[in-house]
Amino acid sequence: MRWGTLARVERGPDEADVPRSAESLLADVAQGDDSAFAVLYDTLGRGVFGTCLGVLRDPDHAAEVAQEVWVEVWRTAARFDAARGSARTWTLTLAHRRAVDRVRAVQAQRDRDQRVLDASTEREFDVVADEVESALEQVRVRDCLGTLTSTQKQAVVLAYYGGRTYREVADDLAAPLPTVKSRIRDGLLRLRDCLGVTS
Amino acid sequence: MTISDDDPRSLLGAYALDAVDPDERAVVEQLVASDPEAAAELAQLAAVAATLGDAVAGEPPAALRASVLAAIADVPQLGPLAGPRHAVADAPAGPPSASDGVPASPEGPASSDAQTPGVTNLADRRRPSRTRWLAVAAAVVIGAAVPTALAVQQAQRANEAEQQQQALADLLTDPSAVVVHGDVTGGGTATAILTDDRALFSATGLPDPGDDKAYQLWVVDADGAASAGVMADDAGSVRQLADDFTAGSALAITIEPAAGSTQPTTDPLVVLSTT
Repeated sequence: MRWGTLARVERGPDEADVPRSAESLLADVAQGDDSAFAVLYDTLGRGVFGTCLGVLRDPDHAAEVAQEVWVEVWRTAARFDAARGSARTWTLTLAHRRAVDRVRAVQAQRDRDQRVLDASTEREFDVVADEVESALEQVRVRDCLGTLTSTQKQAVVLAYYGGRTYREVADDLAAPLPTVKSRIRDGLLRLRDCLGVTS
Repeated sequence: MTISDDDPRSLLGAYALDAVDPDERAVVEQLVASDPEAAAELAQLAAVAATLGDAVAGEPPAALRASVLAAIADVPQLGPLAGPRHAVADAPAGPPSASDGVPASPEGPASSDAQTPGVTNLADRRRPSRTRWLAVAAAVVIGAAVPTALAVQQAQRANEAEQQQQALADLLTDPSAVVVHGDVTGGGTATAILTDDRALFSATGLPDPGDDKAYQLWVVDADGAASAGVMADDAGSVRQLADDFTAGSALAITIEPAAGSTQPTTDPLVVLSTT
C-alpha cells in the first residue's frame, strides 16, 4: 500500500536507505500522493533552491520562487514524461525557468519605472562569474566550466546564472547574435562531454 | 555539425538556458516535437543546464519544507497533456509564464478552510494523505449519487473527478476497507468507509444543526469517544476523515456547540461500525 511509504517520510531525509527514484516518486505525486511529494522534496529540494539561488542571488527571493516551483511540480506532475529526460532535469528546468521569469519581471518593472537599474539585477559578467565560481560547490562542474573557451563560458554563465536572453548577452558582449548562439550551444555541448551527461 | 543561423537548431542551446524570446521558444518547441534528433540533443543540453543549477551551494531554509507541504494541500492537480505529445522542450508543462500562474497563496502556507483544521501543521501533514482523503470524501458524495451543487460542479471537472475516482479506487483496494450506511436521526443518511487505521465519514440531507451548533464526528471504542473534528456543513452535506480510527471502533456524530466539544454532550444521531 501507498501508506507504507509514510514511515520513511517520518524518518526524514537523512536516512541513507531511501531507495526510490525521483521518477517513481513523481509518478506517485501525479496520483495525488503527498507523502511521495515530501520524499521528492527531500530528494530535490536542495537542487531546486540552489537553482533559484544561482539566478536570484537573494536567499529570500530564492525561497519564494522555490515554493512556487514546488507547487507547480505538484500541479503538473502528471505531465512529466520519463521518456524525455530525468525527473531531476524536469524539476530543475522548471525551477530555472521560474527564477528567470522572476528576474525578468523585476527587470521589466524597473524599466517601466524608468529608475536607475539596481546593480544586483544588472550584473556585469565579472560579477556574475565571480559569484558563481564561489557558489559552485561541485568541483566537477567548476572544473568543466574551466574547459570552455572564455567566450563560451561568458555566454553560458550570463545566460544561465545571469538570466539574460542570448540577445542581451550579445548586447553585453558586443558580439553578433549568431556568434553568441553558437557559443552557448558549443559551450553546453562541451560541458556535456566533460560532465559525461547522457540526457 | 555546422548549422546555419536561421536553422532553429541553432537555438537549442539558448533554449535550454531559457535565453530565448517567447516566439523563438515556440519555434524550438515545434522543432523538437517533429525532429527526434533535435529532441535528443535538447534533452542532453537540458540535463547539462540542470547540472549547472544543481551545483550551486545553498541550503534551503528549514521552514520552506513545511511551507511547501502546506501550500500544496489546496492545489488541484492537472491531468496529463492531451493530444499529440511534444518533445522534451515542454516537459515543464509549457512555458510557465505569468498567465500559467500557480494558484498558491503567495504568502506561503495556503489558507486552510474550516474543514481541514491544522492542515498547515507539519506533524499533521505527515499523516496519511489528507489531500487524497478530501478527494475521496468528494468522491463518496458523487458515488452516493446525491447531486449536490458541489458534486455536480466537481463531476464536470474531468481531471478532478478522475483523480477522485482514482483516490476512491485506491482506498477501496485497502483489504480492510468496509463501506457502511446508516440513517441519521432527525433526517439524512450517512456513509462511511472504515479501514483498520482510518475512516472516512460522509452524510447528506442533514437538517441545519441550529445557530452556533455544528455536527461533530467521534471515533468511539471501548474507552469512550474521541473527537474526529467538527464538520463544516455544506447545504446539509458533511464529510470528514478520521485519522485516528482503529479496527473495531465505530464512528458517531452528534450536534455540538459550533466550536466543538471535548466529549459528546448530546446523544449520537448515527453510529456506524462494522459490527
